[in-house]
Amino acid sequence: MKEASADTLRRIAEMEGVALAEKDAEEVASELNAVLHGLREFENEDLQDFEPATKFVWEPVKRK
Amino acid sequence: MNEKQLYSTTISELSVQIRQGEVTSLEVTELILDRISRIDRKLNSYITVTHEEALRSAKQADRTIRSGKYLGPLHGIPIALKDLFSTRGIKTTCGSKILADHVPNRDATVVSKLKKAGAVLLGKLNMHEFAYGTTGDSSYFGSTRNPWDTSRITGGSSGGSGVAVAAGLCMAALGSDSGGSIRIPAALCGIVGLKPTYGRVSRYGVSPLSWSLDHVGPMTKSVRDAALMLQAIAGPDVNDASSSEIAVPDYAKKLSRGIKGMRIGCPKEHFFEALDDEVETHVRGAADQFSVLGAEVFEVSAPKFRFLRAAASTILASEASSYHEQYLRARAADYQEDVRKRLQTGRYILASHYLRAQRLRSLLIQETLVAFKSFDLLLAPTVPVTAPRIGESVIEAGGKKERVRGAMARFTTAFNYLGFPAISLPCGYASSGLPIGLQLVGRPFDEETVLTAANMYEENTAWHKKRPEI
Repeated sequence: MKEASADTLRRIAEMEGVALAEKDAEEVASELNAVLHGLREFENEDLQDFEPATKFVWEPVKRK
Repeated sequence: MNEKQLYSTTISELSVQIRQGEVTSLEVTELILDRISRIDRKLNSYITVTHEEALRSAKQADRTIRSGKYLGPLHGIPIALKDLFSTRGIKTTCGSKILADHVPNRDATVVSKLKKAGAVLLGKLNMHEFAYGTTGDSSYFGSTRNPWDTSRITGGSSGGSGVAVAAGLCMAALGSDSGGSIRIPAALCGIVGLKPTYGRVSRYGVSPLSWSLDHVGPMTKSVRDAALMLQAIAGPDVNDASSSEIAVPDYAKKLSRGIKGMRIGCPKEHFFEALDDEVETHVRGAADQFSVLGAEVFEVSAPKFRFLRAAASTILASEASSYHEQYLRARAADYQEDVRKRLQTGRYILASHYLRAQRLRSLLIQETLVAFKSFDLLLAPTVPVTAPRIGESVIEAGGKKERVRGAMARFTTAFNYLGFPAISLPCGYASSGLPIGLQLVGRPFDEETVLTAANMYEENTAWHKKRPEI
């Protein structure tokens, strides 16, 4: 997974017609990269048997 | 009753006096309204004070009680609400410029329930804008200030609720908690804050931050008061599909049943890492106290908790950004800077990331339920440090530097992600005089055990009796 850059985020925002100020972009990129870094920690977890938690998140999840 | 006596009185004590006619709701309401007018300029906990309506409700409560129609322990009790609970005809701002003049035409379900229980509404409380922040110092209406030291943060996002309860500006408050927003200000302000199980309390009419992480709960001076408040607001709601039909027990009834033989696990990993020394000492001291009281306290392993923050952040950022999409397009400049940046971050998280976090959630809920077979409660600190100074962005705890807003939620977010009930209650004071919070976590829908253990600790310690001098 590549790091997101402020420039990339600004280009995406422009395509979507949403403002992302230059002064915000660096910090948004840094925040996003922190989240993505965290996601990498569990990308190797085997989730094949698990559907997304939905209505009652506490319910024991039925295996397929 | 004078103001000083009222300051040290809890709902469970006051309700007896009101019922027996020793004091009226009007007297109590007037005392608190007067206190708000004198003290709150230092603390900034209220956005709106509903002065006239409070007096009218109090008089009505007194008339009803005198006529023999006592509604229960909240009848005539003055309370306040975080300013994201819809209140018919009363401004509901979410601490924002965007909704600064928003007046809902309906009450949130929990507001209707509190009114039905006879509670008197004093007003709407300040909060971190749109509940998206753990510090409480980023509101369109200005920063809330900690009553123990006004140069310090209250914690957030229910900062105004934490301050108002701690400073005696209401008898209890409601907060919301998507990553720790009830428990963090409860810990930093020295009060009790309960995040119930996901589904236990309706969120209808509560401005969402993150649908699958949002919880509503009470913030009070004592554990017994939290039980009384939860009793009034818990239960199913046809307007909230996430609310549960599991029966609501009588929480206050079993509070004093004792904890002999209760099994309490202290996590080896994550929750006792990078911690302020004084916080660790007091939380471990609380664990010892539970042993003395008859519980079996032992270390447990929960290594996968390290995943939880990243997964919860992914869900929080995605859902919050989705809810705010239209405002972000039209009025981005009207958000507080920190909130705007966080909301913008959520726009770049992929659907596959979000779903991976929700699938991992299913796995971790299942694993945690299995782990809970060997213990009844988890015990941990609520927050790794005492309240930082307003404006401070980085703190150091246990030799680790960390951003304040990340540190605040480090030990709380996991239980929003899992949906398990968790309470924060005072367990000591640092040498600076600032309060320290202890967190107890239970099985889904077992708030009874959480409240019983917390109450037993409270009955055998005096931390909850200490009040800030303002």
